[in-house]
This record gives sequence, C-alpha cells and structure tokens, in this order.
Amino acid sequence: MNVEAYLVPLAPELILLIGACLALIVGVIKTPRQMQWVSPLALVVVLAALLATWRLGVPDGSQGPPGLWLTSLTFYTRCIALGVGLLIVLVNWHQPVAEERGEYMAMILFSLLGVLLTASANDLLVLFFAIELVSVPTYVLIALSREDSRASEAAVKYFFLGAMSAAILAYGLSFLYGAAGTTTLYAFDEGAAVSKLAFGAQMGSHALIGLLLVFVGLAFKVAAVPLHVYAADVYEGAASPVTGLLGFVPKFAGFVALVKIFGACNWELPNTVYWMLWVVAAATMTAGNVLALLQKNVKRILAYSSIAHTGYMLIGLLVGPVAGQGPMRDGVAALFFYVAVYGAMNLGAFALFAAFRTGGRPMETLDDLAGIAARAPLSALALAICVFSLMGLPPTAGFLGKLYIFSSAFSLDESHAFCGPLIVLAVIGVVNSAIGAAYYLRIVAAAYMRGEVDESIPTGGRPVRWGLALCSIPMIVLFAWPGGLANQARNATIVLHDSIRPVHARLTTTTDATEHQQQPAAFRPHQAPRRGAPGKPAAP
Amino acid sequence: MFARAKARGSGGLSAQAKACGSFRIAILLVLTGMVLLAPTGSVAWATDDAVTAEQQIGVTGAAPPGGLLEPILFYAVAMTTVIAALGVCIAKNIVRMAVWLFIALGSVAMLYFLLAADFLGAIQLIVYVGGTLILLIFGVMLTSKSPWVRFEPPKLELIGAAVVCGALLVALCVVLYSAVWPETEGVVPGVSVADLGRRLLTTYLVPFEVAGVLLMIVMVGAAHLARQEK
Repeated sequence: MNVEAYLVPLAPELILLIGACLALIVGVIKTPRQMQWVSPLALVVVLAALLATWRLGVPDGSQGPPGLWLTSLTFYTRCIALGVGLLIVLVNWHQPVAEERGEYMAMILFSLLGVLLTASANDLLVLFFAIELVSVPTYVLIALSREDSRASEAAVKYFFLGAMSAAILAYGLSFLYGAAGTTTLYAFDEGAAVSKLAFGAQMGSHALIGLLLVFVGLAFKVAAVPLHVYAADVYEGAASPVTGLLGFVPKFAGFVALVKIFGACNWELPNTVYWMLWVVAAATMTAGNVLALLQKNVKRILAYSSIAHTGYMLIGLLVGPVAGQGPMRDGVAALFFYVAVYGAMNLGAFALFAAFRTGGRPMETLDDLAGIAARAPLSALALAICVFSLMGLPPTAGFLGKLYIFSSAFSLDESHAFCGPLIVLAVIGVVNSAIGAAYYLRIVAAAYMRGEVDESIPTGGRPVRWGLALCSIPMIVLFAWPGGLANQARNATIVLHDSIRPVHARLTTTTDATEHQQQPAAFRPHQAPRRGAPGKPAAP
Repeated sequence: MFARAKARGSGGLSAQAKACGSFRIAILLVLTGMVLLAPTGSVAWATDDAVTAEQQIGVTGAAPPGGLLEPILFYAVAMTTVIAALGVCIAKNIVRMAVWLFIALGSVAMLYFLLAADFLGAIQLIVYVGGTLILLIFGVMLTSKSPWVRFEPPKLELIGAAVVCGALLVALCVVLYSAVWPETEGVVPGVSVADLGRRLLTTYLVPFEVAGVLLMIVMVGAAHLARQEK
C-alpha cells in the first residue's frame, strides 16, 4: 500500500478539499483586506484542480484507493464540474456580504468536491456520502446567499425535504447492500458486487425495491416529478447566483449517480420499472413546461424550466447506452452532453439577474427586465443567447443537446423491448420543447421589446459580467464545433459499453475509444437516426 | 384516543406532569432492558472474539442461555422499536416525540446487542441515546418559547401521508416475504474493535474521510446558521 498511489490520482479532489479548508480559515480571520482575496482564492483552486485533471489525463481504472474507481466517467465529470464550477465562482464573486464570503466560497468548493466523488464512487457508502456532500453545502449556501427571510425559508424547506430524500436514498442503498451482501458497486475480480446481482426479469424483489427507492431519493436531487415541488420556492428564495448553482450541481451529481446505479444493473430493468420511469419522464417534461407558462417571476419560470430539462435528460437515461456509441445513439452520452450545456446556459440566464439591480432590489420579474437591452446591450445579448439555448434554437448548443437526446431514442433498435414507448416519449419531448418556447420568448421579449420602467443599476462587477460572457459564448462555439465535448461525452460512457458487451470482461476500461468500434450483435446500432429525427443530424 | 383527549382537556400542567411521568417510565424501561439484555445478548452468540471481550470486562461466568430466549427477546425488542417509532409519529407534543425516539433508539441498540454487534450497539447507545437525543431534548427545552407546543398537521395532509406510507408499507411487506436474502452458514465471527479500526483506515478509508468532511461541513453550516440572528 503506497501513499503516493492513493493520493496522486485524487489530486483534483484533494486540491478542492485543501482549497475549501483554506477558504474556511480565511473566513475566520474576517478583516476586510483578507476577505477580498477569498473569491480569487476559490478561482485559483478550481483552476488548479482543472490543471491537475488535465495533467492526470483519463484514468485507466487501475489506480486510486479502495472504494473509488477512477474511469473516463471520472475524467468527464471532473472537466465539466470544474469548468462550470469556474463559471459558478465568477458569477458568485461578490454575492455574500464580506464577512461570510469565506464560508460561502468554501461551500461552493465542497459541493463541487461532492460531484467529483460521486463520479468515482465504487462503493454504496461513498456514493451516499458524496451525494450528501453535494447537498449539504447547498442548504448552507441558500441561507447565506442573502439576508432575507425568504432565503432562510427556502433553506429550511430545502433542508428538510433534502434530509427526507437522503433517508430514502440510504434506505434504498441498504436494500441493495442486503441483496448483494456487499457495498461494492462494481467488482474488479471475482468478488461480490451489486453489479453481479441478477437483473431484468429475474431481479430479486429486494434489489428491485432498493433500486426504486434509490431512484426516488435521486429524483429529488434532479427535481423530477413528483419530487419537484420544492424547486420553485427554493429557486425563488435563494439569490440568483446560488440558483444558477442549484440548477446544475445537484442535477449533475444526481444523474451521474443514476447512471452509475443503472449501469450496475446493466440497464436490464423489469418492464414495470421501465413504465414507471417512462411516466415520470413524461410527467416531468409536461408539468415543468405547463407550470412555467403560468409564472411571472423569471426565477420561478427558470425553476420550472429546470424541471422540464430534467424530463428531457431522463429520456437519455431511459434509452441508455444500448443503441451504440456517440451522443447521436448513446442516450447516456447525450445526457452527459446536455447536462454540461445546461449547466452553463442555465447559469448564464441567472448571471444576468446577479449582475443588475432594479428599484433597490435584485432583478426578479419580467417587468424588471424591461428595457435592459437598451441599457446594457451586451449583457442582454448574452441573456438572449442563453435563453435561446435553453429553448433549443439552432445556432446554439442547446439545440444540439436536445437533438442528441431525441435522436438517441429514435436510433434504438426495433428488437429493444421499449423501442416504441421511448420513441413516443421523444415525440412528447419535441412537443414540450415547442410549448417551452412560449415562456422563453416572453423573457427575451421583456428584455428587448419593452421600454425601461425602472432604472436598472449594474452591481455585479466585472467578474460577474465575465461569467455571463463565458456562459453564453460557448453556446455558439459549441454549436459550430461540438466535437470536443461530444467525444468526451462518448468516452465517458465507455465503461458502460464494456459492461453491456457480453463478449468482453465486464470491467476492461480503456482510454482508447477506437478499440470499441465493433458492437455486440444484440445491440446493432443504426448508422443514422430513423424516422425523421428533429432537425438535421449533425454528426459529431 | 381516550388518553389523548383527556390530556388535551386537563390543561398544560398535568400534560407536563404526564410527559415527565412517561419520561421516567421510558428511562426505567430502557435501563431495565439494558441490564437484562446487554450481557445475555452478547453471550447468546458468544464467539471467540466476544468471549475475549467479556473476559476483559469480567462477565465470563454467565451461562449462555440460548434456545427459546433469543427469539422471544428479539421479537419483544423489535415490537418495542416499532411501537416507539409509531409513537414518534403519532405523538403531538414535541417532548413526547423525543421520549418515544429515546425508546426507539434504545431498543435499536438492544437489537444490535442481540445480533452480537456489540461495538455498534455501544456506539448506538453512546452517540444516539446518550448524546444526540439528550442534546435534542435540551435544545428543544432551551430554545423553544413553549416546549409543550403541539404539532398538528392538517387533516388532508395526514390522509395523503397515510395513503403514501400505507402503500410503501404494503410494498415493503411484500418484498420482505418474497425476497430471498443471501445467508451465511453458521455464526458470523464477531469483529473486534481493532479489526474495525484497521478496516476504517484501509478498505473503508475513503468513506471514513468523506464522512469526516461531511460532518465538518454540517458543523460549520449549523454554527453559521445558528449565529445568524440579526
């Protein structure tokens, strides 16, 4: 047992941990001069962690301490979480009052650390702790974000419901543990593991109920119907920059955990579970979009839009990696691509609300947005790009994200038991995107078409505007060159492809995608999406 | 139902006295349970490790009861746990809820002893029964303006919760009856504290450390939120 072999592969996580502790210590000193260094410190920490990720490259799965399994999924999650984390730090630059900035930045870093650990977890205990490490700092962040009784209310509400969902998740994991007799998720050798249980129709009822409870616990984190009720109130109560974080960090961690658990089951779910998830996905999309139409407060609109996006992502999760590789066919790769894009575009939309105040309070409603285009044309343009991307309009990455998700459903093989229902689900998704356009257009129209009512004052400072720019510019760039991100998303699911290939040993991980070009006979991929996928197929 | 209606009618003072009474009864119950069960439970599954542990604390002389006593004790303690957990849900006075929780956590500790998980049982007693719960009761008494405040959710919510919980209960019962659990042959050897410590620092190092970080965050967050009275 070598200390170096344990610590070096975990460099990004350790950098985040040490940086967060440093921020906490600086937070104790509390002189104004030290306080202004906290936000740059957080930025440097995230940059250093990104650099470490890049230096380490894609882990081959053989390194790291027991309980963790570092794979290409780890690499992708590190890149995306830290990349969007950089934007989150920029947008939150000036958010809390100076005395609390140390704790505030530390909580952001801890939350990101939780996401990184979720992706590497190979033990049910680590998975549970990592998910909680994502959630607990967000409760504190909401309460710290502003001195307002609404923020406290939102924090308490989120905390109680979050504690409940954590209990359900832990209960579900305990069933999986009981069924498998071990907490190991994937086994490297002959040892027992959750992934070696019988799944599909032969699934034991204890494993089945464990799986369902785990899904319920994680559905709260990703805000899926019927566990979405908290979203609008919590998003409205928290300050805008924190809301941008809430839309991405727990959702990403939740989906990564779901992919890990479903991957352990090989995507062999009993039909009843498939139907249940189908209903959840359809209800999530529809409820999110319909309820968003009724809102006036932009933060509530974006909260319901966040729920609707969870619904689209659930399509990718349901399709799974069985149809073939690449985001056009692999639902999970499409999901990973979409969640990364969603993180940036959602944060960008909230960043504008962090950058301006109107009438002595932060911007919130559609009326507050009126006339912002005349006063701050560049910021309004950035908002428009992000909102168009959320809508899924062509010159943005949001369009590609939706295209990948829907086309993955359309490229399912006809022999797949749920080919028909999943195509229906994708059609529901397309219809929902059209409904969603209505309320997104209202945001853009408020910014561009209406005259100024109340003077809006820029308050965010330069870093926030940088954050806004860095959220919106990649939306256009990624539309033109999606290859880099799409390839990484494809590589992230290599592990899953290994596990669904009956020929190969379950856990041969590799950094080389070219070895995996041949597909198993059972899952013949279609070269192009069939039956008129929405829009033109843009092959990555 | 009758007892509750009576308590409601008889006013604050007697409710207080009643709560104190049930508190005493609860403590007595838990203490007698501990006295009865702690030695018998661990001896019932006496393995090599357990025996060495007992030699250290000097109760080696106790004869192993075995036989019928184990299942009887198990079902009695399990029933206590269930009833106490139900009491937490049904009680409307926050201090009574705490008392019921006290009984529930104490009987879970006894279940651990019965399963020969001595260390876990001791930890459960020290951390939950001894530490967390006492802290909780003190917290309620010191912070709340009226510690005897009643908690009554609306009827509609109660019905909804009952339906959902009932469905879950049925599903869980079906699972428990139909599932085939993996079983180990014979008695699982007890785990010594030294072995536990070694595993926490090797196999379970990562969860151990992450739990530490998580607890630190919880502490920082709680301290921060508690301080924030502006």
